[in-house]
Amino acid sequence: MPKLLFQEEGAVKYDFMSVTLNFKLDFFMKNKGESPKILINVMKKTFVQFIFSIIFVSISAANDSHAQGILNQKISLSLEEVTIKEVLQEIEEKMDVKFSYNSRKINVNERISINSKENELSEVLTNLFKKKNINFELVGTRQVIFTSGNEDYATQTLVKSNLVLTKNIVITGKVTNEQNEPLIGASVLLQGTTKGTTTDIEGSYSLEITEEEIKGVLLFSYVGYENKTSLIGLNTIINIVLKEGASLEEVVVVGYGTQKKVSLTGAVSSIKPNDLLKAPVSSVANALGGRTAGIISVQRTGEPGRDIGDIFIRGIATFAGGTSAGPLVLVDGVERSLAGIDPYTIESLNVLKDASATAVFGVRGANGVIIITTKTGEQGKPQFTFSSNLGVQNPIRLPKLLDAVGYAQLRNEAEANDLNNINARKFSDWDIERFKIGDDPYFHPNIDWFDYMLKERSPQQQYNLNVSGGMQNARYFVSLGFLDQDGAYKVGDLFKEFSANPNYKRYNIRTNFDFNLSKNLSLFIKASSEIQDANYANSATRDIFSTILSANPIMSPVIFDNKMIRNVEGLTAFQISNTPLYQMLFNGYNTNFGSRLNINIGGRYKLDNLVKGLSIRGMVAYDSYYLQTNRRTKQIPMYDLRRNPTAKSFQDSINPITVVNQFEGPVIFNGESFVKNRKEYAEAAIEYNKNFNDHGITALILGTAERYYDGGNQLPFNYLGVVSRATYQFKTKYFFDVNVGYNGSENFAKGKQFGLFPSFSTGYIVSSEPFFPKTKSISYLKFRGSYGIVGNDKIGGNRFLFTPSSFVSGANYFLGLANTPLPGYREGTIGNPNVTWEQAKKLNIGTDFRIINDLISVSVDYFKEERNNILWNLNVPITFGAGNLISPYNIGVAENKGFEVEMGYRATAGKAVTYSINGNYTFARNKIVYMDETPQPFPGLAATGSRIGQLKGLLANGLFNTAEEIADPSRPKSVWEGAGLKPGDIRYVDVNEDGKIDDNDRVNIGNPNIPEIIYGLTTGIQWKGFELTIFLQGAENVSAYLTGEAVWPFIAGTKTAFENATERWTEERYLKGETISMPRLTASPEATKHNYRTSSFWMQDASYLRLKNVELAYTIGKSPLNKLGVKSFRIYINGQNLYTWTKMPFFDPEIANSNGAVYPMTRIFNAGFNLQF
Amino acid sequence: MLVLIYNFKVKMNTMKKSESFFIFLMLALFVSSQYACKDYLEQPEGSIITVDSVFNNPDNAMRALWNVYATSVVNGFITGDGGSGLSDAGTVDGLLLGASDEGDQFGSGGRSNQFNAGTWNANNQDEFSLGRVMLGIRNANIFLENVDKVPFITTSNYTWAPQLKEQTIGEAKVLRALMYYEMMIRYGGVPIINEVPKVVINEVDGISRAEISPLGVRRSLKSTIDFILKDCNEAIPVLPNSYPNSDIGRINKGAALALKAVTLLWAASPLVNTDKPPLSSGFDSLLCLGNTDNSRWNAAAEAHKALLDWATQNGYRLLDDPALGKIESYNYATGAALDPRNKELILYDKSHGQQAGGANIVRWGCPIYFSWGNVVMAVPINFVLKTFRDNDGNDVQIPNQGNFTELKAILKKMEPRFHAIAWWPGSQYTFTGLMNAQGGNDTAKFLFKKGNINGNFVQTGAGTQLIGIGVPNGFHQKKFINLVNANNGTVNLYWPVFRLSEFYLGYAEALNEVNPSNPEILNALNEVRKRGGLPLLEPGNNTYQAILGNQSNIRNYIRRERAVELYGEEHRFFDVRRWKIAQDEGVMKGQFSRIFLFENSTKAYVQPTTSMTPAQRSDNDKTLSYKIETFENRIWEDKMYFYPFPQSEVNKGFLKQNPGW
Repeated sequence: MPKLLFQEEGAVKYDFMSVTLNFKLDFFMKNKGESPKILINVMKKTFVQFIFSIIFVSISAANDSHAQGILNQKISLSLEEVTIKEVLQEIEEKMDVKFSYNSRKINVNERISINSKENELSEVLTNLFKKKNINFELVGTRQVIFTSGNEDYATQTLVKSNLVLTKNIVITGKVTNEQNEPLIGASVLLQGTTKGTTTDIEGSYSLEITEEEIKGVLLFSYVGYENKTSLIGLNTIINIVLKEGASLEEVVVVGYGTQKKVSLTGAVSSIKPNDLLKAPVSSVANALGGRTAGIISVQRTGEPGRDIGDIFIRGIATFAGGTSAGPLVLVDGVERSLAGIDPYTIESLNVLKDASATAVFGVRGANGVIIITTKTGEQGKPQFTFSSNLGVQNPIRLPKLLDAVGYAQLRNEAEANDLNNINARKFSDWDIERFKIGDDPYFHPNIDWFDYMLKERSPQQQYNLNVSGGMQNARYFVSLGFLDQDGAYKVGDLFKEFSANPNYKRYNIRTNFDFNLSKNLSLFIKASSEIQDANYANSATRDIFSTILSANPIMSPVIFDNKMIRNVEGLTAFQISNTPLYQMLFNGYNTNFGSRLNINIGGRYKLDNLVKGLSIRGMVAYDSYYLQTNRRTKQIPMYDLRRNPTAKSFQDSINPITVVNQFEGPVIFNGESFVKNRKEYAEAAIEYNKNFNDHGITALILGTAERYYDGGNQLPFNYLGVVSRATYQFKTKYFFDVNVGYNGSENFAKGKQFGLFPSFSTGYIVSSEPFFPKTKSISYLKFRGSYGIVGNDKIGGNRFLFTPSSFVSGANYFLGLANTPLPGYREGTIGNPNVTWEQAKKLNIGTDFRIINDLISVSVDYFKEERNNILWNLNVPITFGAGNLISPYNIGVAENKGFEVEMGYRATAGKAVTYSINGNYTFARNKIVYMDETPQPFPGLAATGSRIGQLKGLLANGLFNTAEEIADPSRPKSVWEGAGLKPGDIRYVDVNEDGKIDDNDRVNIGNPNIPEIIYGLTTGIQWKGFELTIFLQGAENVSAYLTGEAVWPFIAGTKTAFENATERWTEERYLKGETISMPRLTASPEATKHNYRTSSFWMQDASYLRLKNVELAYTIGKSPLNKLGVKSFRIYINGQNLYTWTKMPFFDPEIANSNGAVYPMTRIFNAGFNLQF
Repeated sequence: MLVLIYNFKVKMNTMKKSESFFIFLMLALFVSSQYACKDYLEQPEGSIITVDSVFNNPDNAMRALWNVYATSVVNGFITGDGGSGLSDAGTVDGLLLGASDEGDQFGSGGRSNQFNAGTWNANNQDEFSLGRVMLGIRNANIFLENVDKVPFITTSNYTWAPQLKEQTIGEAKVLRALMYYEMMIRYGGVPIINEVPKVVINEVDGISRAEISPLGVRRSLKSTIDFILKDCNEAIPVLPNSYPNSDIGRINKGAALALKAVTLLWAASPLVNTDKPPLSSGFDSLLCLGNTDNSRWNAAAEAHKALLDWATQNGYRLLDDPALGKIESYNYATGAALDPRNKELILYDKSHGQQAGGANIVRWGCPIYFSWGNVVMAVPINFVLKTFRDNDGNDVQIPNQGNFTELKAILKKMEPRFHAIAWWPGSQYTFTGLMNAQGGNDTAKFLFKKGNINGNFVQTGAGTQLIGIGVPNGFHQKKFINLVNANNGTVNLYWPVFRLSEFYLGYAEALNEVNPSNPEILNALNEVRKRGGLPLLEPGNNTYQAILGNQSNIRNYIRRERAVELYGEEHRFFDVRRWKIAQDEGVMKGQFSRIFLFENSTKAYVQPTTSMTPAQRSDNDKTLSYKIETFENRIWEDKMYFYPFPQSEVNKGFLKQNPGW
């Protein structure tokens, strides 16, 4: 028997849940002597041990004390006609020993009888296998391995024999696809072992095996390709062609389980994790839009750490408000935030869209479900991946501000308009001259405030190091991530003590372990921790930007002589009290420290022994989140700026003097706040999965329980449910699925807590029919259909509406000579005993097909949903007396329908170039069917029948251009025209033809602020090691209604003006036929005035097409690095939001309806590399 | 299933410990999640106060009654609390007097001007909140519907007995009837809701639609009047004549009698005692009683007599205290509800506690706060001239222009009640405490217009509050503000709902329509004149001679006396409608004029100070002149005799809108 080397180092022993596990890391025993590798090995070893020691704090790694003599310990056994296996199990029970063997090589089912009285274990074992040429050896202290003395070597022996056998064989070969293109990074594994490698840049591999192993089988695999195996035998060159396409075995993660992709009957789409990595953004949520059909997304801001966009699956079908339209997001099976996930840990991201896919989520599934699973280790040597990204962010689509001269001139024009006096003006020619020349920079300044406040570039960096690997019975994936994003404020660091510039740092750690404890029992532990360390100005971001928009170019610079200026005396005009810089700094700063811990522990036990195909599994999860916000302020030193009073000339006077306005104070603590929540989750399931002849059946029954504590005095949020799914397929051609969710929450009245949500779906692969012509034009054709009912309990955040009508303390009445206050009891709320969830009835019809010899694959889905029971406030007659106290009722009805298309094309050009085009397109339109709305006097005013979020406003029909038009007696008078309209004012359509313009003339204007159409187009070209990917994303049928500072110049007489102010109406410009996009100027635009009423005039088309992402990557082939153990080295540059085509003149088209006071979106240029070793 | 479990057991025997443990765990999880669910979703019992826990003991039930008071008793002050569900019947930012010929509201926020400019409509009427009144009615109905549940027990504050129960029912009914009265005089016939409405969800075409039951459609004016009278009649026998000191302010028998009297007086009045409303819509029974019946005046007179008799028996009388003098007696009668000398208030509102110096009545009412509230209440000079008299009871003439000294002389001789309700140029503040800080007690400084006769309004003043524009209408309304505490500006607001003078005047009015020669008429009027400080109507008196034996002259005289005596108490606004004279020139329509001062020479008027000698003061006055000019042309349309229902409610399809709106 070979002598065992490095025994204690190689065997790391863990004790966990009474399960003894011998976990062996083979790589320590290999390739001794080659110094570079040893170096790496040492590194690996230290790293792995480090990680393990972090994770398994509670797990003992100590050696047992009763080391040597287990084989010498005595045992008594008396068994008749039992299998060897049972004998071994009996011994394992009686003694602290574990046996290992390869049951295929060693027949343990042979029946024997044994009778031992206080015999040594070694003796018992020897007798057990006598005459069978079976050897055994002790590994470590408690594990006994049996090896066959025959030529068939047991698995466990291979590793050890590797150490002593010297005659090795090198197998080489090349892995390509059907187009004869090399597959880079394809996996080559000697089946049943951890021995394996991956292909290089040319698709080549080389694997050293022992003489014995030539009887083994090599397994070739590559993502997106079907696996292939090959016997080694006497071949030393094995070239393999892998077939592209979904393997029949490829599985897709669905609700509470997986399903074979080929058998899917619902609408499920996937985003490739690699696509997510291309986007150098901090949150996965912001990388989803346009990547797959069915996701409608908007990102409203680019502020680090606060830029998480909104996601809607197939649009919006409820108007209950709040977060009620958002999807359910599950990470590893538990509802979790999408915000802080490290994209490098994502194994798959699937979007469940129709009732068939989401019914199992019952009361939570109606808005669609995003399921993310994190990576797990794969059997094999430790595979290290290190990624590094360095990028710069650049604020984009800032409004172009008028300069001082333009501002002063147009402001004069506004003044003249308002006072109806051509000579009225705020700025003299002399002042304008000063602005122009710039010779009086403190009292006649010219400032571009965006330029003054925002940096052109702010850095960001992201790193990830992960390692995965394992043996047959224990696999690991461990990942460390770090993200650091800086904000765009240029002057945020004026004071040494603090920075008001946003900074967002995130640390992610994830450790996922999978164990096969026995043939039937497997266990997993997934733990992740996210730490967030962010810094922000204490002033709300919208206040900072609103102040920027309140500023004007003729406001003085706020820093003079390194002093911060509050007031400028002698300024021409218009200094606002809070300058943008002051607004940013005076409130100090806050730090946000958050930590999130997510843990899943679960297992599966196969009950094949009982019923073939039956298994049970279970999982418990615990999440905890804590966020501390710590606010600190500082009284900042400030000065007033004055013209030098002793100045003798204008030239002298331009040099100002400063006078203290406010003294400096220390940084002081200004309070803190916390967010604390935690969640407990458990699920347990019985599963059945069986194929016989042409039939395939799967069945699942699963119970879930969830309890979420939201801190404060909130009662916990609870969910409880049973899920079941049954699928049947015949000849992999006909598919039938039934999914049923039955669940409930405490938020509904007793007896009404639980709801049943069934769905039915079917699929039919026509192309598998014998009668289907086998042509190259249509190679695959499948039809799918589903119908079902799903619920949504996110009903506007209301809780316990079923509570009986309650009374609360009311107002006092005062009686008596002493005016004694007598408190009343008044009605508090009037309960809704029948409150329930929203109910979505969803229909989905889809088809998947591949044409032209599989070159083009297409999926088309049509969907229609009716959402009823939408919680909405009753609009009862006033005679009710307390209509405002009635809890909302489930009376709203909305519908949502649309279609989505996904298309893929992949081809080669010549030998070396391959390219692919993938596109997707989603259209979803909703309609409010019923919402208990007061009948409106004119139909255009009704929200019912309109889309959710549809704005109502007046219909503008250009501007009045002449005095005659104004004077026309047939002109409908506007109720807002005050002293009368003038040329240059907006002309509205008298929609109801009642001879006047008022609120009754309002109609639907523009589109809602969330797009109805989102599409994406990805093009990839590969040549040799180069790879260029271009991702275009667009949105249509979306509007932005910007008001206030975002569009109107000179609000309150002093606020900002953009360059579009030059496109105002003047008679001269009108007569010249110049572009006019703005009514005549006024110094006080207000939403209550005629020109500034909500109207189509100000509605902006927010459709856009973005060059969302471009990546150019090069994977370095053979290089000196390979000698250092580097398997793959990929370098790339990429960019996000590179260019946007939109009709909006200013602001990003994804902006929310607002006055524009938001942190701008950013363009990101990023360079990075990815190293595998 | 059983077989499965049995098989499990068999298999488990052969399993390793770890595996069996795992299976056990999974099973336990599964089973517990399915069978332990009962408790899992339980909402912990909270301390919800339900209607049953309110009415299960007297203390709590009485709290429900206080809530009816707080939401039902009418309050005409500017409290700013209208939105919080408390009664607040003034316009949003001013007393209702600004919406009739009694007064005018000046300033950017003055919304009662909508009534004068004729721009009020179904969307912007904000004097009267139908929703708040309906809330009061709902609260009364909740009390009446549940009061039977209260057990006859003694708790810490109350001993519940059948007599107390009946009394509280009476209180709730009068409060409910009061709400109906307030609605009726504005809208005519209204929906009668005498139970607590419930939500009913009906499935129509697969859509759940909400309705309420009862729906509340409008009832005829007669039904509405009958409903009010029924509530009053049921309450009168069970209500006490008076309350102990600790409970003063509650509904007593007099309040029920008073409400009955005013309801019958309204029903007898020309507006509704007819077969034809001002505007006909085909639903005339909503707005009139269908015929003209003089016996309605009889009923009104009897009801007034019943109230006056009750008042006499229970010590209620007009406040006429020589120590206070005529002006202050009148002032105290109006607002000093708890002053022991005041036995004139039959019902007042006390839904608000003591309000500090920033109380809205001061903010919006007091001239020194003008720039704070941006609204001032003024008295048009034409109203003064057509209603108030001089000390001798004679009409007053003021030339269209002249010098300030002359004007001052005329105004000084005005009857006492005029001095109680107005600050006029040169008048003194009643309380100096509040005003001292502003540099003296001469009001001229905020009642004049600087510059020449065509100049812009410019106010000069010592205090910062005075910088801005002055009171442009010359006379500033001061009723109620008068009672603001001199020292700290706090005020206890008691809105007079029923004050005894009203019933002398109502009695006289009704009797005159029945029999103008009834001597009771002059007796009743003289009660009011005597306290008001006017010579009695008796032989030798000019007024007596002018009206004697002439029903129409008596009627006009009573109406004039009513305008003076009940000034500012939300009567004039409704009286001119009730009498159907609102459309007359100078009532709710036509030109309204003001008086203002201006500097007539290059010599500037200076702020009067306390240290000025009379001679200096006189010299100073000579720098000013006055002028009467039209400031407003008011619009009236006959549809305004009745209020419009809110358009948003009419749109719901159950309320019949009043004609013309």
